[in-house]
Amino acid sequence: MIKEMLSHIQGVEYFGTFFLLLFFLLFCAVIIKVWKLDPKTIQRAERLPLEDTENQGDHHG
Amino acid sequence: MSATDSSIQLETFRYDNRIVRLFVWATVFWGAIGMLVGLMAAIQLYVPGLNLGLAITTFSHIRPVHTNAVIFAFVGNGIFFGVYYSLQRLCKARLYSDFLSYFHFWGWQLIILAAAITIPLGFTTSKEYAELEWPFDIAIALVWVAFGINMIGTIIRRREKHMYVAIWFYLATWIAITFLHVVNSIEIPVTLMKSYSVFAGVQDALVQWWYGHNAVAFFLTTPYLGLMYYFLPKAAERPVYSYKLSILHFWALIFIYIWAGPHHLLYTALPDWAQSLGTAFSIMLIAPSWGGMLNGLLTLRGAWDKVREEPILKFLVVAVTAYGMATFEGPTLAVKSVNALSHYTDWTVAHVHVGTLGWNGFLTFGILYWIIPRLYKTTLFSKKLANAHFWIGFLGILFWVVPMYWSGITQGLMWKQFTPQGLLQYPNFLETVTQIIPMYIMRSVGGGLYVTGLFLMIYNLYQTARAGQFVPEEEAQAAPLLKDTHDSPFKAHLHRWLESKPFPFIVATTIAVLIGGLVEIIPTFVVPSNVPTIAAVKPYTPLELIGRDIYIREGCNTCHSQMIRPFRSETERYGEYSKAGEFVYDHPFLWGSKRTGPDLHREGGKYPNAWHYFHMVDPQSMSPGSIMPPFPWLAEQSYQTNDILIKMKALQKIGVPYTDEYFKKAMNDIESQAKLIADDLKQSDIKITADKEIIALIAYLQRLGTDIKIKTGPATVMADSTK
Repeated sequence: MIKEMLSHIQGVEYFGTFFLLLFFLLFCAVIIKVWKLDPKTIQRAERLPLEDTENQGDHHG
Repeated sequence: MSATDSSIQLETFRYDNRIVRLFVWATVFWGAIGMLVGLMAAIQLYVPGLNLGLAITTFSHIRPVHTNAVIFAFVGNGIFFGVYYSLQRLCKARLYSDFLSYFHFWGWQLIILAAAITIPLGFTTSKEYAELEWPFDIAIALVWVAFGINMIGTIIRRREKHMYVAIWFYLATWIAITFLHVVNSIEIPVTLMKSYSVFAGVQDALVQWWYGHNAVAFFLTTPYLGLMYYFLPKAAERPVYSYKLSILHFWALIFIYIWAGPHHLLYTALPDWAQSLGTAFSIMLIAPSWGGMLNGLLTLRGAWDKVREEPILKFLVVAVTAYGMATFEGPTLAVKSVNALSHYTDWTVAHVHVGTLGWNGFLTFGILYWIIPRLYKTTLFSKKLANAHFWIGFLGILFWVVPMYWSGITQGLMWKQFTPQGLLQYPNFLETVTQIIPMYIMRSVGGGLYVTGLFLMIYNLYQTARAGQFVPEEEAQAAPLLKDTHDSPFKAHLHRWLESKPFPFIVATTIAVLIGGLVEIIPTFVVPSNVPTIAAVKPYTPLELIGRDIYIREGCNTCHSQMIRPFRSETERYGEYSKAGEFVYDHPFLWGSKRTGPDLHREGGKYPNAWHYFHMVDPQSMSPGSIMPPFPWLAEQSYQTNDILIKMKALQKIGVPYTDEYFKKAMNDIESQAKLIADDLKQSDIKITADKEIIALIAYLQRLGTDIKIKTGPATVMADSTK
């Protein structure tokens, strides 16, 4: 039944445009969310790889 | 509640360095093997005799060994040591299960070993970067699941609320590769070491290149971006340039990447709308890719003076720059007019090697130089040697890729060149090959330099390890993770919530990754107009099917395409362009991706049977100067008929219209078609029995592309296998 339904997909040529639009909207939403992120959260997150070096010392400087 | 709150009791735990060490040395070992095999294959392109007269060392058998070894053994083990080292530290937790860690390690190494044995022996599905036969596909799935459980389990047990951006890339890698591997490996087993793809022709090509392209995306790129986001800040001793940019980079990249697969099939029989989608999304890929590259390079702001002194940073800078170059070039090659020239030539090979030698190789080397002194609690044995490695490797890359760009563009132009009278300027394909042999020689010099640098690194790392004391377990302390009181997406920012929760994050990533594949693949499978049928196209006769399996075993598709594009330069050279409906019984498709030799789709009837015989046994006797290796064993070995009915019944199950009635006369058909070819060969003084493999291969080659052209060729039995 699923194949039957899918085999009659109309307007396949608009798929690309639709999903491009969807991506554009989602991308804008992510930009807005990222823009509004708390600077303290960002500051803390970006230092995570350096924490073991900073907290526990690193023998290799 | 912050994990750094001083009122919380700190927990003491240990990071497992043993598993990291195992994957580190496996990376080095398989890197050396994979690159040496690559060098051997490269030299064979101008010294075909370097195959020592053996099938297992012949170019078409070892080229897939090289690609599998460098992708899944070298880069694969590189991913795993990098992930297991960084994940523990970013999560402030030991890996979830020691058993799964070691199951993962030994399982993966056994699969690599199996590949190194079975692929040269000719046990191959023929699908690029997915050549392993079905029992190993199942083993890969099991080991991959073990890796996933170990990774996700570690993330769940973490002591750090925020999942750092590197972990997002690791998770996306795991999710995408799971889908890609499963879908592209859907095949029907016929014997222990033989299967047929359930997809055929155009559909099989689309699935394969959805897989192939995204193996590059999600095996060679996203996990290494995760490693870049962890190890580059470590090496530069400063945080990533912009964490916000990394968030945008991640979501845009994983959404767009999956769509770009069809750019491997431009101007083929794939429906136009799918090709256009592939091109459009490939061009869009420049933005997130360059976002990531700039984020990496700008992480070194204020630290460029260190790059001058520090070989590790040198390797990382060139790696990220190579990533930028490859991700600009990729979309350029996806533009149809550029692709018309570049496709099937060495240009694609050069493009791939900017990515693999530069991005994957140099990033791995940089991280190895960083990590081994830390695992062995010492300093690097020789910085001078590491600098020497950098420069030799860098020159190696240049000597590798520049001749290949030259060769690719030269050959592409020669294929398309017409005389003022409107005839092909170079009608003999071989002329376009002999022209680029100096480039092949220079390329192998570049490869030799790159491998020399690798061995300098191995010596340096070995001496470093010898001088130090390995730290099997590294003690660390962190506060346990407490439940957040604002634990809802409606109360906290959505992305912060997503970043801190592995499961919603996994679901969101899965949706982002899946959309592109589904939108492209489903209509190609179910909308009939996408693959118009051609009444004249019939299934292969049993002898042709045997011949086709020999063609796959010998890896002929490594150097010969079966896809004539609709250009006058191709139809003049090869004949009528290829139609989607001609491939409906091709399980798997054999379109190929590189023309080291000419296209074979209209090979049927082009030459006499005797020409094929001599050409297979000694190519230079028919084409002086040819770089094709000889395949004399095909005239000595007999083909097997004991499993042909099992094969035909399996194909019947997946849609090839063989009838039960036909199965009764299949064996007689084999004999009569083979006898006709053997008798024809006898007229050219070739004494050979009808049961030799070369007879079946000739039957297949003489059938190629003849369904829609007038058959004027030599005598073969074109039995109707549907009656």
